[in-house]
Amino acid sequence: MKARAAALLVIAALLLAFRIWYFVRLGDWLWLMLITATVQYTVIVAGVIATRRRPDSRVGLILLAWGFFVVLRGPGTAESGALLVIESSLQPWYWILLAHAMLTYPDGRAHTRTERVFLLVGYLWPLWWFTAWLFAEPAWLSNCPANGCPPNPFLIEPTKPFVDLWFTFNNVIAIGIGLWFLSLVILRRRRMAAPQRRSAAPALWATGVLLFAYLLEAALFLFQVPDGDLWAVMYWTKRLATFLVPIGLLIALVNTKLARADVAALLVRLRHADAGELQASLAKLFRDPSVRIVQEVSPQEHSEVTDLGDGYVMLHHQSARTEDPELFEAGVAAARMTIDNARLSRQVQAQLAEVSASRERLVQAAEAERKRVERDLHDGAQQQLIGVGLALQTARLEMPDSHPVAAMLDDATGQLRQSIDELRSLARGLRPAMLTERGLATALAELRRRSNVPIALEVDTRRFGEDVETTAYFVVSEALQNATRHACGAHLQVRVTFSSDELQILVRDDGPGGADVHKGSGLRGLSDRVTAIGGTLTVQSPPGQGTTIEARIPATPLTQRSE
Amino acid sequence: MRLVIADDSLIIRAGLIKLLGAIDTFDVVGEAADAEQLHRIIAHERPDVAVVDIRMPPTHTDEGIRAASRIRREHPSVAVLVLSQYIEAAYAMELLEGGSTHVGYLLKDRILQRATLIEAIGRIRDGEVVVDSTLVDALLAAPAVPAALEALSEREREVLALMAEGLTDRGIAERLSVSPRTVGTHIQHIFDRLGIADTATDNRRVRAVLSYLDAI
Repeated sequence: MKARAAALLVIAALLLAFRIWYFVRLGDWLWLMLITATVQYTVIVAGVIATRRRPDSRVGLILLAWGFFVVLRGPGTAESGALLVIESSLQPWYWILLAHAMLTYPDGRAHTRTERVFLLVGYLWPLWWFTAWLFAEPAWLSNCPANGCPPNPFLIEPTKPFVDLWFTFNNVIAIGIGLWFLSLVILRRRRMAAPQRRSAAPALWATGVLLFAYLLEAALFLFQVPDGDLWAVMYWTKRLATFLVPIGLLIALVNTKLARADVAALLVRLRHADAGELQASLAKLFRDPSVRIVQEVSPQEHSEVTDLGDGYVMLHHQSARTEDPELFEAGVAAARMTIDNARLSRQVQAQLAEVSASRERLVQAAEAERKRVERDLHDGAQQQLIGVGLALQTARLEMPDSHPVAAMLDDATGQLRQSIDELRSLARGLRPAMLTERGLATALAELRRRSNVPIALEVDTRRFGEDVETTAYFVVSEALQNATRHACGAHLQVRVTFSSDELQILVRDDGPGGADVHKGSGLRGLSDRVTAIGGTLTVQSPPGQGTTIEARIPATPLTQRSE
Repeated sequence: MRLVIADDSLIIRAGLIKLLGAIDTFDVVGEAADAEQLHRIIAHERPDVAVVDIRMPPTHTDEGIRAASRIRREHPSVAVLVLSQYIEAAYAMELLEGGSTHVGYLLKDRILQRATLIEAIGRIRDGEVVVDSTLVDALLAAPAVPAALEALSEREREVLALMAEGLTDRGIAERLSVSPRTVGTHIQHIFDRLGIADTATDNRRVRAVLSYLDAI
């Protein structure tokens, strides 16, 4: 693709060089030839860019055809009569190719029957020219060089009156075709959407200038105006217009190219966009303020519907799609991605919420279960064991100390008391009753009393929700266990403070450090418990610098003291 | 000695009645399944001692402690022994704050040690404070010396802990194998160092115990 474009440009340059050499040799001015060549080369470059940037559009091909047509015509006409006749007959194509490009911008295709008929008539116009050559000497229809034109090989019979009549007729036809073209351009412009009109404006201006030059030329011929200022105006306007056409088309192309760059920016901007921002961005990108992104289709006049996925559609002008189909595809892809992203992100959020809710439920269920078991142990098993013990004691009262069964009963009672003791510490490990009955501060004070490690305790005495208190309690008790296990002879500092809306639990020991939340199942479980009720747990344990465990739990103090 | 027993468990109540009723000097004059019933019976019977379970309807938490405070307030002649599945310093302090004589706080399974139970009932009837030895053991085992008690020597802290347990001077002397005189000197030192002014001897003892419980 790139190689082909480069080859085209090289060939065009070589042809132009030959053309300049040819005509300068024949006596044309070099500077004039250079200006003409620059204009023609500009058109070819514009055509190459257009075919590469807009492979879907034929405008580039038409421009290229025009470029090569003007580069190729001319050379050889001084030597060959046949070439002179063909070149002269084909000269309407100079206008028709330009008219074709301008009329069918941006897609390069005729849209209506009238347009197609116009183009057909235009491209067949050379046949009409050829009929004149059957009866004309070369000098009658062409500017011959000083040494004269080559003879006309198609000449049947030189008939000057017929050629004069033909010439007048031809100028009328030329003016008619020009006006026809004008009407078609006006019609087409009317069919364009506002944004399309905006980007096509440079090409339309060029068309206007070109048409003016063309009609002026035809009129000058028609009325056989003698050589003078008007011819000069026509000549320079025509040169200017042929230069303006590729410039106008190039500007329109650059416009589109800039819009392409917008797609990248659009993608970045749309990462977290909502539907409103998306709509504004697409409207800007497509230069179509009528762009709407909706979930339910309510067709509007002149609008097309494009599916964006997840129940969204985009309503827009047809022009958004036809003016630059690639840009349109890119913009729609970006929009789809954005919408898909939003959907996925919503999904993940929902799943996350569901997972954390279910984790919270699990932790709460486990907590309720511990509480129930603790109650059962105290009020059920323990109570019953004491009952049994009482029965043994009463039985023991019935017999003298010397009775052999008396010793057995005493022994059984002793064992029973041991069992009760074990049950008690089991129940306490599950969930200290003081936590429910007197709150965190008291429960932690009891914990300290039972601990082998010295603890400096500073606890907010307010009551909090059961989840909060229980979690806070286990943070401290787990940290305490850790310190007892790993930090021999350590001192523990425990601080439980409340500020604004969270309970902060800070446990610091001066042990060897090096604890890892991912290794110990205790710390891991603690982290799970804390996060399950929406809190965070951080463990800092650099080797040799003790361990600091900090939990932050969202909490609200209970206003009523629950007694 | 006239006793009232309160426990929501029928088995325990029946067992206690049988066990204590078997002692010649004890006379169980009433039983209650909850605190309300207990207060009615006490107002009616005016017993010497009430043996009360800490967990009773409706909340099954600390009804016994609150009942004890109310009984001590409304009927100062009635001594109260609270039995509990577990011993908590916080409850011990609440009990002592309510009235610092004639109260006891024992682990519930002490009722399987008849001698301990009977001795405790006798002592609280005589106006002493009895706290379960497990609490005192835990207190003694505590590794850190609370700031408030730093002024005391190790021996004096030991004596104070035994006072908290409810022992008399003689009891303490026996436990530590020293003379009651020595114990008296220690106790005087404790009062001085804790800054407990000389008002009424009984109150000073209790206040020393309170400051001890408060400190740990």
